[in-house]
Formats: sequence, structure tokens, C-alpha cells
Amino acid sequence: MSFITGVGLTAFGRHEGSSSLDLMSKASELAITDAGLTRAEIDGVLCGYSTVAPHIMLATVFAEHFGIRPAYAHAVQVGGATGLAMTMLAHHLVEAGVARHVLVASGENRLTGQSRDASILALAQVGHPDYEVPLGPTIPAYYGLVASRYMHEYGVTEADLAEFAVLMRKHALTHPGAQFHDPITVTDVLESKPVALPLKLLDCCPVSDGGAAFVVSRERTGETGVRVRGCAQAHTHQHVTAAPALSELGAEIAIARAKQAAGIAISDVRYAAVYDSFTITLAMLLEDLGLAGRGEAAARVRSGYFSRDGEVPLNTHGGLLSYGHCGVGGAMAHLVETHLQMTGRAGNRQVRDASIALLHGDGGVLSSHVSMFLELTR
Amino acid sequence: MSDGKQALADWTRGAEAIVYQSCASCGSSQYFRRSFCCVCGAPDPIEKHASGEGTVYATSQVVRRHAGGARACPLQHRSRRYP
Repeated sequence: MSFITGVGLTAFGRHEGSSSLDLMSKASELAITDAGLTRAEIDGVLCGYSTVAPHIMLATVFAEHFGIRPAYAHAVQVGGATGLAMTMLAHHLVEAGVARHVLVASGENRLTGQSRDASILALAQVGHPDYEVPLGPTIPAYYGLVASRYMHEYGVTEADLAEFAVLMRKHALTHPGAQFHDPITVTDVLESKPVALPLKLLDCCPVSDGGAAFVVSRERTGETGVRVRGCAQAHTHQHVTAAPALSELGAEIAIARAKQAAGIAISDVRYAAVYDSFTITLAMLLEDLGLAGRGEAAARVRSGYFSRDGEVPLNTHGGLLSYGHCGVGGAMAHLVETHLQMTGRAGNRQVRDASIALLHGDGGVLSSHVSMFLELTR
Repeated sequence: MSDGKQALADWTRGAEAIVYQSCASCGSSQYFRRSFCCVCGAPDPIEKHASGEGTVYATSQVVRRHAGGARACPLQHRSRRYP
């Protein structure tokens, strides 16, 4: 068994003067303290990457900076799926007895540490170097293509997609750490600046500074345990040009494997934390995961299904779309929020019941997927 | 990039053509050049010119600032405040 024993999250937005290592350290300190541990007890370190400060050995750079000497350490790179991929690895590491307490950490000063163009350029490199990148696409362009096809096949409209941006903003309004605190409407989203149509500015997550961390342990360290019940991955392609048909994407494969590993059905899920780099990402993933029927996710948003007091509250911190996106730490914020909800510490955002949670991360252009079920044990 | 031999020039090499590869062994087609078939692993897939006929699968209109200025800036997440 493995447990998420502590979580740490900085505010997202501008952290002028903070390096990626500073943000990783800040979140890690919070997570270790939350777990009731000392840094000397951390014997494993997994970290993501930083586009601002790339390094071939980021985990050791971080361990030295933070002041720990782990028995196991390396970085992991699976784009937006990195946070959950690290959690899955940490789960297996502690189950296998390789380490007792694995610190999973990431942070990046992506907003203030480099120009916006540099961020866009770095991210666009997930495209194929010969067949895609020379055409000048951006990440929104890749997802814009996916959106147009999904809308065509399932009758989803731009107004449907806008609902997800509005919901994430509504949730962010109640979290002091979120990057955006101004309410928005469907009309605001529809009238926002075109980026890669059908995606407009408010359909896209922002670039942020921030850090997130958690500790994965073999035994619980407090009275309440958040246990990793089961998880799985799927990797179907890297480049959107080589992506399979919409009905054969990796989310469906990963969730099927995770359900089997966990022995949990979607109807058991009480809280959902789903990757939302763009509104289309969230719409597609909710439907791929079975949290809504095909083409029906937006209707569920409108009916309050995914709201704080709905049947399956979703990304109650505001998600990537409105809490912010600092790279690997962006999706890790989803897990931090899930932990707070499961342990009854989400304050004014607290949901009634988060006893079983489903988390899903996506890297690349729906290329790499990780699905995970967490369960509250007392 | 593939280490495969390329007989036919295509748009990635400046020619007005789309080229794909076809496996003589299993019959699979692939678009990204490789020295082998990515389905069965057989070496030396045959290069073929696409006919030019096709059906549009997906579209996106990308809107970005004119690249002739000091900065090419396709996204402006922070140059204006969200409403």
C-alpha cells in the first residue's frame, strides 16, 4: 500500500525573483511539514522538469539545493502527465520497499523567468521536428485541431467549451492562491481574443510561476490516510499527426486499466481532478473517462454536476485554466487540492464527500495519460 | 530524424509533394519517414507520392502577432488582463 501523506502548494501567478529551485523548495517544505516528517526522513526524490532551467540531473540539483541526500532520485518527463506519473512511480517504489518516503516535487518560474515567446517556443517543441514544428504551430494550435474534429464528430459547440472555462474560474474565485480572481461569463469566453480557433484566449490555460509537492509513503503518518488505490498509464503517440482516431485515445485505455487495478467503478467516484490545459482537453477527458456521456459534459457543467455541491465536484481550486499552469506543478495542484478535499481541509471550498477521487493527467497532445484512484482510509 | 534513405523529395525538403511510406511485408502505411516499418519492423519501406486527393480531417485558424516586429507573439495571456 501507499499513502499520500503530505501536500504542499504555492500560490500560482507571479513569483518575481523566485527560481524554479526556490519554488520546488517552498512547496517541498510545506509537503514534508504537512506529512509530519523531517527532511532527513525523505529517502526518495522524484521531480519534474523546468523549461526555464533545464538540467540533465534536476533531481540531484534539487536534492543538493534543498539539503537532502536521498537513496533514490531522478527526474521524470511526461509533459502534463508528469505529476501523476511520478505519483504512480512513487507508489510502486514504496510498495516495492525501495524507499519509505518519496518526495515528489516540481516548480517553475515559467511566467517571470523567461519571455512569453520562450515559453511558447519551448512548449511547441513537443511537435514533430520535421513534419510539424516547421509549420509554426503552437500548443494551442495542436489542440485547436483536436477541438475542431471533436466538435465536428460530437456536436460540441464553442459555447459548450466556454462552460468549462467559466466553471474553473468560478472555482478559482474561492481559492486565494489562484492566478485569476475576476469572474467570467460564457460571453466573455466567446468574445475573448482568438488564439487557435476554435480556441480563444479564455479557452487556454495561462503561463504561471508556482510550485507543488507531496510525499508518498509506505505507511500513513497521520490519523487520516489518503491511499493510492490503483493507477495506470497509456501512451498511444507523441505527435498529433500520428494520433489515433478520437475514439481510440489513451485516456480510455488508461482509465480501463486503472479501474481494473483499483477495483473501482466510475459510479464510485465522489471527486474528480482532471487535466484542463484547454477547455477542449477537459471536455474530452471527462467524456473519455466516463464522467459524462459523449458530447454531454457541457450539459453536466450547466446542471451543476461538477460544481462544489454537485454529484462529482471537479477541480475545486480552479484547475490549470484559472488556478494556473506552471508546468509540471500545474497538474500537481490538482492532487494537492484533492488531498485537501479528502482530508476535510479545503475550507470554504470543502465538498460534502471526497472519499474516492479520480485523477487524470495528459501529456503532449493527448499523447500520454495517467489515471489514478485515491481512497480515504480511516 | 530518420536514418532511412530518402528517394523522393517532399515538402519537408522543399518540394511540392507529400510522400509516405508503404511496407512491402505487411502492407502498412506510415507518414513519418523511417528506415523500417513501425508496425512489423520490416526494413526499407517503399516511398510513394500521395495522390493529392484527400478529405480535410481537422482545421484551426491560428492568430498571432505579425512576426516582422521585434517579437513574434502568438499568445498574449498576460499582455492584457482577463476580463
